[in-house]
Amino acid sequence: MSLSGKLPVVITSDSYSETPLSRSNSFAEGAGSPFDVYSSDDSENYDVEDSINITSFGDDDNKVNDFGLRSMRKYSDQDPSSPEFATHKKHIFILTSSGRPIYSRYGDENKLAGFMGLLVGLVSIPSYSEDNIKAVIAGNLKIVFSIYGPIYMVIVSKTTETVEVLRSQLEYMHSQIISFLTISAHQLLIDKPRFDLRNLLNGTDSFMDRLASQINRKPTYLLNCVNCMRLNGSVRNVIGNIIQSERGSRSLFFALLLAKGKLVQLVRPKKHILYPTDIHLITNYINCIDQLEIGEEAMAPICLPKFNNNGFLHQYLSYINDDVCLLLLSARADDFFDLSDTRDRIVKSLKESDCMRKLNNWMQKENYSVDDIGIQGLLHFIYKSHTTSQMTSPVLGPPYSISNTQKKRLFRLYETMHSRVHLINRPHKVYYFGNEFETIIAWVTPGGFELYATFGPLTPKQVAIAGCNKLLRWIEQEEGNLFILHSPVW
Amino acid sequence: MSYVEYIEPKLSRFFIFNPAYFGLREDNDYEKVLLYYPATDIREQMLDVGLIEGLVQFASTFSDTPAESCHNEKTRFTIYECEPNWWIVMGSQNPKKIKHIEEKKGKKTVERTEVEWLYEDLDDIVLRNTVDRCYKMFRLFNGPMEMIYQEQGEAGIREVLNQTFISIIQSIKLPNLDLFHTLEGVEFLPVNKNVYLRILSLINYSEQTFDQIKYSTLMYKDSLVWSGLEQDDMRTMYRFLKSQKRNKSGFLSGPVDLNDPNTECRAQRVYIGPESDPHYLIIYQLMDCTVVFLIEESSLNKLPFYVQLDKLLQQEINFLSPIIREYYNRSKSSNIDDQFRYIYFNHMNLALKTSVKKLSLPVEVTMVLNQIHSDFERSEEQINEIVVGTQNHGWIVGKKSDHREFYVLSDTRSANSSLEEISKDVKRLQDKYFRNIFIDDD
Repeated sequence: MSLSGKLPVVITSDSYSETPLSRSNSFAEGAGSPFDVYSSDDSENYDVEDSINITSFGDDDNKVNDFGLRSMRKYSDQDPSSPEFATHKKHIFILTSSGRPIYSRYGDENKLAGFMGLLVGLVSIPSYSEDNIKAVIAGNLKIVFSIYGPIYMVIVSKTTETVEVLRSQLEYMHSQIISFLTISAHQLLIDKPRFDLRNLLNGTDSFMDRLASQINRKPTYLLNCVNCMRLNGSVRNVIGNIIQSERGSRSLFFALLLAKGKLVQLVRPKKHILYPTDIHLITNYINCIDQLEIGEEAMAPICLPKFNNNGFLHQYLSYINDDVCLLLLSARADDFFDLSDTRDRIVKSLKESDCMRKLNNWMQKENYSVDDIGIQGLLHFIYKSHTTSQMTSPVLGPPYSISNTQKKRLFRLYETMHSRVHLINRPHKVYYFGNEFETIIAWVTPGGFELYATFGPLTPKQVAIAGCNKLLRWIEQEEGNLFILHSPVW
Repeated sequence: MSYVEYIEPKLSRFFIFNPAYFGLREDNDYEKVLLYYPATDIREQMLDVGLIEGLVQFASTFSDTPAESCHNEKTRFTIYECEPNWWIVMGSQNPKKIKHIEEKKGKKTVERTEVEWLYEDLDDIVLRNTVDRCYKMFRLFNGPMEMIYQEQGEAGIREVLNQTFISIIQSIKLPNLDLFHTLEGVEFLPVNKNVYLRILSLINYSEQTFDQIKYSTLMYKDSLVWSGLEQDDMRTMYRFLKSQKRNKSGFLSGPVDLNDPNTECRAQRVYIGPESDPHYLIIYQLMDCTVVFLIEESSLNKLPFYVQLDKLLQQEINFLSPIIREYYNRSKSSNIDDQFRYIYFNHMNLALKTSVKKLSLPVEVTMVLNQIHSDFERSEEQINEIVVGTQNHGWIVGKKSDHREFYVLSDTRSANSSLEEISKDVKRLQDKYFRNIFIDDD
């Protein structure tokens, strides 16, 4: 019943009482990384002071309890002197203000010490003139710096992405770190500048890697919104009501039902909103841990930076069937049994009300294509509703579905369009873009929606505009199914 | 009362250094800085130079293209290696917004300010072109830095740079940099075939009769009619000539008094062509025509040559000038709809035509234009057209075909018109335009 290597601890009814994993207080108390499976039964405290006595980066290997898991990452043997190192399209480096590595997307962090020292140097020089470095451009190479207190984040990118897009990607990566450690990581590093943060981040490389690759290709990150599963509105409402009525304890804050990694329904307290950035951290987490068996349950802490960057919520995760899982976030670490009961009641009601069967049906046909809508010349689109922070988009069809290069190319175009539209103070109302392969129209109404519609390269303007209008009408008709319009509150 | 103040960008510093030839030891490394404006403490200078050197080094591990710019919060550095090992760096202070906020704290009203640095607003291409132009102007009148160093040594190059570059730097006006500066086009005056051939034969005759003349250029008022110079030199020369006052007639640059056999000959030396060969600049002005000859050094003081030249030019220009004037007046009054302001630029011949009054565009429109141009230049896929419907500034259209760029700005009055209507209007304008250019472009 146990998870492989990485995280989180599976709490069975036996070992539960021994787990020291309630982490609403700071690190000073000493327990090791919440994600380190081997510390679960540790009665001795992993003393923070120990890590300061590590004399050089090279020694860290001995102290790190990940049992060689890190070397299983691709490209982890590279260092700045390897010729392949410079060829990666996007590097992400995270380090402390004293040059200690925290994360590197490629390469062995231990060999990056000198390189990180260089980065610290580059950041510090402008600070003598009371200035801050933001970015460096060399042809199509962009190096973007984001400083979060004592944590320095650097992207080295050869993609066509703009500086603004790259900066927002760094913000996601930083949120991921905060979600493991809470914002007290900053204070820790300020108090103990030579502390090696990796000791608290054991086993989290896979999360960071996956996030790094997701922000590279998913419009939900670009537009800062959620892509829900398409589902009949009334079924969704019934599901919402069922969950809403089964709160159990008052310490249950958020309940999420996900199918195939997409959000089906969300229930929240009246006064607290769950922001898209936090939801992304949750879905990233679920997609990273190994699949639980149906019926298995797991509980682990997570900090949601937008909700509360100072403390942890505790997520209870359980799969109802192969694709559907229920996530309950509670303020208390010892809520396991209550949450388990809540889960049982919810599952029972979902099955009795036939929701599970309907949900399964919809999951089969959830994706739609532009052909289903029937608009002349339309190849693809992304529509984001500002009011609900949700988006919808059809599956990619030809010519983009032909290769990954084409898919990537279209996504990069969307990223660029997004930056162009938001160039000056007030976003542009319309941005029409025509190159040799396609025509893309971006249409923005502040406070309303943001639409990016792709047509063929020779599409006349009237046809494209008529297409956009028709599309908007279709979306309006279908919005009950495309979006979560009403998330119940308790 | 709370309000927001917009502070324009301005030049912050400008420096030239060569780390390969000078300051090679630890104790004299400050010697690599050849010019630093405005003069400041050597430690501050070295901080700047150190940052740039560090960045160039760092970026070179990932990219073959050298680092071009460094975006700091308050300063934007434009980095330009004008010749191998000779680096020019311009530091521009970013524009910023100062919010003056009045708050009530108890019974008192307190004022405080918040500064927001707009560190991504300046356009790198525009800044880079500015530095390039400064360099080209310097090189036109002084020759390449490498050559000066070879001929005059370290002291020589320092002196030349400090004497001549300062005035060039002081002519940079950052808030006024816009698309016109980026394109750096030349306003041509198209004339019909016959007139063109007449002008051509004048030029050819002069160059054949007078061996000394190596290159010629003819301008009418601020438009270029003919130039025998290579494009790069032509652009720089054209910019220089536009900045000169041309009030009097005769030799503006050349012999002071044609009647005095011992007259002094005042002409600047210019360096032309890929090898930067030295020539002397002779400028002759008559009836709004400016003829420029570049002559060999050896012929500088030969008075008979000037007397003959003067006779020839007087004769020809008296004939040509009224004819050219007609074309000039015609081109200025062509009735393109006033509702639309346009900019047309041809990369092949650097022709620029516009109905926009320079310096009249709002900052945000300039930003969008610069961005469209940058996309045209840098995109891997060929972009044909970009149409932007702004919230407050109407429509901005950019079209590119082959080597031609065409921008149209529509009046804000028509802000409610649709994408379709604007496109129709632009097409109308374009047909009128591209057709004209074809006829007169020889």
